[in-house]
Parts: sequence; C-alpha cells; structure tokens
Amino acid sequence: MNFLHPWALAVGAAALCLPLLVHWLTRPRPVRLPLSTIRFVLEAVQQRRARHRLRDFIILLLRAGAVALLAWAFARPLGAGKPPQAPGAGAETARVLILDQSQSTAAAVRGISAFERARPIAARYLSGNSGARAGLILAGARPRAVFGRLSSNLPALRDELAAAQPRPERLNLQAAINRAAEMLGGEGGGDGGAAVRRELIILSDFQRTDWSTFDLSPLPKDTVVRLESVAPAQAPANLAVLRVSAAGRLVEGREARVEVDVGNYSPAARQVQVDLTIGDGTYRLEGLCPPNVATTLSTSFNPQAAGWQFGSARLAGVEDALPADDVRPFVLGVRGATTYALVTREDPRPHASSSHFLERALAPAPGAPGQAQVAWASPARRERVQRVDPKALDKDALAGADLVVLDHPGKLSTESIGLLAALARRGRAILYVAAEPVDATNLKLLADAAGSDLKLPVNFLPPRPGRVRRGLFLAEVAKDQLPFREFGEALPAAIGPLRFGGGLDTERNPAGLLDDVQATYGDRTACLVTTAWGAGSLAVLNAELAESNLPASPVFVPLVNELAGRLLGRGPAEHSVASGDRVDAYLPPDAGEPSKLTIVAPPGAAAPKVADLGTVSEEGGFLLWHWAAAGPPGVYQVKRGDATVFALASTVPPSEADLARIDPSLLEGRLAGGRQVHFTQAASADSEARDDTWAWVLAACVGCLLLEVVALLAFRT
Amino acid sequence: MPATVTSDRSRFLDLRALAALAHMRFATRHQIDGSYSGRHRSRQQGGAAEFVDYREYSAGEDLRRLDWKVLARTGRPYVRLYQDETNLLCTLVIDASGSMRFGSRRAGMSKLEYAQHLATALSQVITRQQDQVGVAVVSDGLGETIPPGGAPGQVLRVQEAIERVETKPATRLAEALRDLFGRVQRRGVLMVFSDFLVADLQAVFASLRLFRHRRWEVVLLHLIDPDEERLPEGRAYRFEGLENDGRVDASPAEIRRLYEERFAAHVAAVRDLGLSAGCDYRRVSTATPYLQVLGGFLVERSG
Repeated sequence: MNFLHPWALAVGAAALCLPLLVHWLTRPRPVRLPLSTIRFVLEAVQQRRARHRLRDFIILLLRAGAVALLAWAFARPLGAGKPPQAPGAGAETARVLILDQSQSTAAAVRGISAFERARPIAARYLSGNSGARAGLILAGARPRAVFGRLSSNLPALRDELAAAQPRPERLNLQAAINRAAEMLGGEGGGDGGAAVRRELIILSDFQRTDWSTFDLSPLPKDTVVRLESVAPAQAPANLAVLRVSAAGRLVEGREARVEVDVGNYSPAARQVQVDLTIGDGTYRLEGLCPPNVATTLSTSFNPQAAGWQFGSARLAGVEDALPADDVRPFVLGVRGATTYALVTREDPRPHASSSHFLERALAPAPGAPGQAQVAWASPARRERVQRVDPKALDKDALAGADLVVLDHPGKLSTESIGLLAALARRGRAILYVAAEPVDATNLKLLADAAGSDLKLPVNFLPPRPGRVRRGLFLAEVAKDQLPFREFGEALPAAIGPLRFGGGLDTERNPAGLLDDVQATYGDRTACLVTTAWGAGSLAVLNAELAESNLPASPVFVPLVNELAGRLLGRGPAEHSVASGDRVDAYLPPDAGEPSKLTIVAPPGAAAPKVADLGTVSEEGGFLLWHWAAAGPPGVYQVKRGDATVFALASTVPPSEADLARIDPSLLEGRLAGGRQVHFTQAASADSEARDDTWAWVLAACVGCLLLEVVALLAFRT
Repeated sequence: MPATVTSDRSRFLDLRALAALAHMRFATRHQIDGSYSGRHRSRQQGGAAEFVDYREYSAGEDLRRLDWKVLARTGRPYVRLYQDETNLLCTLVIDASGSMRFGSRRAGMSKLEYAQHLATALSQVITRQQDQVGVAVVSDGLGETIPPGGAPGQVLRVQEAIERVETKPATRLAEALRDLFGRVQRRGVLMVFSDFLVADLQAVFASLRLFRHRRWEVVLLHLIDPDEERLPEGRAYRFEGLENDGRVDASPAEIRRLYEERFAAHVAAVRDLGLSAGCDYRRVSTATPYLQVLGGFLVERSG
C-alpha cells in the first residue's frame, strides 16, 4: 500500500499517543483525604475495574482505531498500476526508470496529481530484487540522474523518489532518453557474463506537447521499453497565463498596450479575469476565452519612467488542474527617449543630403517661433540623432543607440561589420539606406558575418554598368504591414507620386522569405526589405534619397518613423525564460563591470542560492549572463548597487499548460521508430476508484466512533 | 455544633447543656442485676419489691410468698410475684480504633470525639440517677477499663478515662470485647460506641452475643460520619486509610454509587446482626448534635 501523504502516518502514530498524553497531562491531581471507610472505596474501585475493564479495552481499541483510520485516510492510500514484470529467471536486470517531473505532472484530478500517481508505481519498479540494478532519472528541462550509473542501492533510489516533486519545467524527453541510454549502455553482458535484461521504464503523463517527438535509437537494441502513463483518462481542464508582453516598444511617457495571452485548455469557453500588476499599478483584464486556444487580452499602460517594470498576471477566481500556471511573472523594459545613431560620412551641415533628410525625419527639429508643431512630435518625444563617423564606429559609439541607421557609410571595415553583426544578433535594430554601389559590398559582408542569423530575401548588387536607376516607382507594397499599413486607404494616393532614384539592383535569394520584401519597384527590384537578424532586425531601404522625391513627400516622415517603430518594436517581446532552461542573456552595454554586478533572486523559500544564479562574464565585448538552468518562477535581477541593469522573468513553460495527452497508438507506432514499446495506462478507471479508499477509511473511522458511543451506552446500562 | 461550656473535670463535659436533660433518666428495657436497690427492674423477684402478678403455687416453693387471702377466698394456692428493683451497672465501651479518628468538616468533630462527648454526658446522667457507670476502651485490644462502681469519685475517674482515650491504628474489637466479657462479674448494660468498621463483623457480634447470653443489655451506638455515608464532592481524591490499610486514587463521581451501596450494606449488616443478637441498635450521625441524640435516646428509654 502506498500513500499520497505518508507523513500523515507518522502524525497518526504520534496521535495514537496523544490520548494517553492528554490524559496524563490533564489527569486530576488527587487531593489527599484520610478516610475511615477506605475499604469500601477499594472494593468499589476494584468492582468498577472489573466491570469496566472490558469496556475500557473496547473503548481504547475503538479510539485508537479511529485515530489510526483517520491518519490512514489523511495519508490518502493509493492504488497502483500493474506490478512490474519480473525479470527472467537467472537473468540480471538493468533497469532505468525515467520519471517525468515536468510541471504538467502536478496537474491534479480529485486532489491527486499525476506525479503522486506515478510515485508508488515507480517505487514498485525500484523494489528489491536480487541481482537487479536500477537507475532513476528525474526528467525535467534537464535529466537528473540520482546516480551516475546503475546501482543496486535501491533503497537510496526510493528515498530520492520519495523526496522528488514536480518542477516548474518542461520535459526534455530526448535528453532523458539519451541519459538512460548512457546508463544502460554501460551495463554490458559481454565477457562471458550473465545475460543482462535491459529495461527502460518511463512514467509520464504523456503530455502531447512534450511527447510529439522522441528518438529511442540511442538505446541499446535489446532494451525493453515500457511506457506507463499516469495521466487521467480525460485531460483535466486547465487555464493558464501563457505570455505577458508589451505590444511594441515601451517608451517612457508613451501609452502602450500590454498583452496577456490566456490559454483555455478545457472543452468549454470560459470567461476569465486577469489581475495584472505592474509595479504599483493593478489592472483588471476580462475576456471570453474560447476552448483550446490562447486568447489575447490587453490593457493600456502608460509607463511614467524608464527602466525595468516587474509584475505578475494572475487568473482570478480560477480553480483548475494546474494552479502553478495561473500566475506568471513578467518583466517589461521601458525605454527612455529613442536615440538613433546615424552612421554616415556625409557633411553634417544642413543641406539637401540623404543623411540630413533622415536626421530630420527621425528627430524633427523644434518648430520655429510661430511655426506649427508637427502633429506627432509630442513633447514627450525627445528623439535624438547622433551622427557617427564610419571611421570612428565602435561599441562605445553605438552603446546608447536604439536604432543604427547607416546612410552613405562608405566601405565598412571588418571590425565595423563584426560589431554591427554582434549588435544585431543581440537585439539591436539596423536601418541601412542602400544608395551607393559600395553598400552592396557592405550588405554582402554583413550577411556573411551574420551567417545563418540573417536570411535576406534578396541579394543586393551594384547596378549594372550603364544602367541608370531613376524614376522608379513603387509597383508592389505590403499594404497590410508596417510601415505602409498606417496609411490605410490613402496608401495608393500617398505612394503614387513617389519617384525614386539610385539604389542597388537586387536578385531573389531563395534562402530568404519573400514576405520580407515590403516594397518593390516597377523594375522588380526591391525597395524596402525588413528581416529578422538574430534577436534584432535589419531593414534596407534601397534608394538614394537625395535623388528621390520621397523626402519632399508628406509621406516621408511618417514612413520613416513607422519603419523605425517597426524595427524598434522587434525587440524581445518578453524578457522571460522558461524555468529550468539555460539562460544566455546579453546585458545592456551600459551595465558596467561584471565585478560590480550582483544577481538577485526573487524573495521566497524556493529561491535558489546566489551561487546558483549563474555568472556574468565578458564575451566579445559584451556582458553575458550565463545561467545553466533558470530557477523557479519569479523575477531575477542583475543589479549594480541598487540599480537594476537587467531583469529576467523565469516562468512556467507555456507548453506545460496544455494537458492533453498524446495518442498512445502514436507512441507504439510511428514515434517508436520500429522499436517494441509497451504502453500501459496506470491511471485506469478502477485505479481511480481505488484512490477513493480514503473515503472508505474515513467511513470506518466514523464507524469506530459510533461503536464507541454504543459501547459506552451498553456498558452504562 | 453549639458552643459548649466545658467543666474543669473534662473537656467533654458540658454541664450547662446537660442541665436541660436533668429531668430525664436512663432506663433499661431488661431486668438487670444491681448491687443496690434502685429504680431499675431487678432480675430478682420477691422481697419488698413491687407486686407484679399471681402464679399458681408449685410444690416446694417458699410458703412465705403464698397469698393466704386468695387461698381462703378461692381455695386454690397462689403465690405473689414481686419485681425487685435495683440499680444500673452500665459499662461504656468506646471504640478507639483508627477509623474513629475520622471526622469530616460537616460533622465538625471526629467520631471519637463525638463518642467521648456522648459517653461523658451519659456517664453524668447515669451517675446522677444513682446508678453505677464504668468504661472500657477497646482498640487493638482491651485498653483502660474501669468497672462500674459506686465510689464517690467513680464518675470523675470514668470521665477522665474517657477524656484520655486516643486512637490506635489497629482494630481488634472482637477480642477486646471477649476480654471485657471475661473480666466483668455482674450483669448490666453494655453500651458500645463504635463505627463497627472492622474486618470481621461476625466475630464482633459473636463477642456481643456472649454478653447477651449472660443477659446483659447491649446497646449499640453506631457512629457514622456524613462523609462516610456519601463521599465528598471533588474531581479526584487520594483516599488514605486510617488503620494502615493503604491508599487509593479515585474519582468520587465514578465510584460514588458503588461505594454508597457497599456502605449501606455495611450499616444494614451491623443493624441486622445487632438486632438478631438481641441488641438495641441506634444509628448515630455525627452531624447531629450529641445532646439531641442523647435526649432522643433517653426519651425513648425513659420508662
């Protein structure tokens, strides 16, 4: 018999002593009384003892039984699945048990989680068997083998099993299988030794999101694979906060929207309420969530100060199978005034040049006295353009820039190319205005430096000799995407008069996405390309602005600003990491020296120690926070003194919220890869019924108490 | 208990209280032997005593008792029967066993003190009516014994002896009574003050039957404390015996009914044994003032 709460048995054992202890502590202190008729007292006491000895014995038994049964009921006796198959006679058994401890195994049905169902079954697999060697792998985001190799110390394995708990992590199934393969592979039956029977048992809830693919080929060929499901027959209903992020870039003083994705993994639509806490502010989001999809709820948020904003989103009034994912911490980065680095070799003095047009478009000059302000140039916007000489291009020059604009940079040095590639990979946005033939070389070098991080949809080439690029008009634009989407119905009228000159020839790059081409000239060359580059992005405006009428057009400023906004909005949507996953986060360039930085865990008993929060080191001129496995959910901060220079929210993986299990036929068929896999369902209907044993035990406890009353009445008469 | 005025003779003698009983006399219910002529019916008949009845003459009887007048009138011989009157010889037996030391708050005094009060008062009453009184103290054996006598200082010696009585842990009431029986020479009244808390009641009454067989009048005054009848209230007591009979922890509430049954059975046994032995039995609660008990006793006895 196994128990859900074995500690209750110890409490019950102590409680058995409790009546005696209470009796001893509360027994009346007798008052001394000399009495001449003591012999009558003695006779009465003896007669009473004789009369009530049986009654007292029965009462004691019934009371002790009631207490023991109560403790038993609280311990929640559990039924279990089939007993493990006994190894063949005379054969040694090498058994590896993988126990899924991902967050989804904490989902409870009728108060019993899948993990608790799995525990007694796993204990049975680790029960004593002479000659048996076993290993236990607790599988989360990383496989955690109790011992490095198979061991015959089964009691120690059972102890570890008893102490194991679900973790707020996803299941990295393949890593666990690979680890099991290493352990089983080390148990050879060669050298004339006795035949070894290899077994791999996986106890899991077989969540669809974790089990969509796995490869058993690393296992030795003769390994018997047994999959035992502890998932309930029907996937329990679950709601979860899957994502919290800002729609676009959060800028100080500018109202933005914060979006919360709520997943409803239940068969019916649910009206949900989300309490969103950002700093000191609290917001209530409400909405109807259709079944089996994620619904985005949003609210407006006006950050008043730049910096890191922490908060949490909590589902209100929800009782579901997995409470752990009903709350999600998050981090929002609020930027101050946008700073542009304009890398150009053109003369900074105001004149009709491409860089001048860009500078004025990105950061409009204050209106002259008596001149109307530009409508979108609100006082809160304090954009700043910093011209950078390409020859002086270095990390410090671009440290504070949110967007790097390259216009007529000339031939970029290798160091500059490497720097730009590193910045883009770490999330910086780059706008390249390709006007000169040398820009084709620069873009080629950038693409080469980016490697697989950058897949431009077109390759930019110098114009063919003799060909004059002039009078180009826009033939195709992605009107449903930024920056053109903002023009709406007025788009044809806005872009119709535009004529472009200069720029580069382009040819289709099959490795890139055609959808990244935002606008195409009438000669089929690309006008505007926007594509992802690592964590950042790259936009290429293929035109010589000085030879185009675009700067003189009223669409120029909004077009450039929408384009910049799109690029800046491509920053990390959510500063979060799944708990248990590896963290490699680049800190902002102004973070300072690593020695002056400290990593602070969120308060709470489950918070890891400081030594377990990873390290900050310098890598390629940037500060890298390396953390082997993110800790429990919460906000982790990198601080310099009292100032937070970086923050990251560790969260429950959203994939753990969908508790639907995979079709067992897939496990035994296609996913097994031709291997013989035995799948059993431990949480069958009758075992569910056995889990109700506690109710019967409780009824027996009540019966004992009633019998006690009957005995008291009977002996009284 | 009312305030008492004790005399110099004995702290148990309250002459002022006894003054209320001055007109009362202690009378016997049986014929007794006495040393002198007195108020009590003697076992002796004839002489100058009081005429009682006629009886037909039998051969060999004293012709001096033949009533010649009746013979002359009826022609049949009858003898005159006279009841002789003599004085009372009363022996007060005081049980000084350890159990007599018990006295509850409700009673205000121990059973022994109560017995001492009662015995002292009785000795005073008996002496006042020209009867003779003696005392015998019994506990683990026959203790101080003063036979009834008519000496001038007899009552003083008796009351002093009563005052000196102290309890002893052991009880050998039956043996002590047998010893007393062996010492006394003349019949009289044996008045026993005891709680009869002994291991063997039958032996005690066997001893008392010896007195009865010798035509003694035996009066049993069964002294009972209120807390003996009904255990005191309280959660738990450590009851300790007064005669080296151990201790026991018990809650009165749990054993009250059984205890009362057993004590009532004990009282009933004493009463039944006493009555069956021809003794006069009187149950005396020490919660009742001893003068009230004495008054009632004398009223009942007054002839």
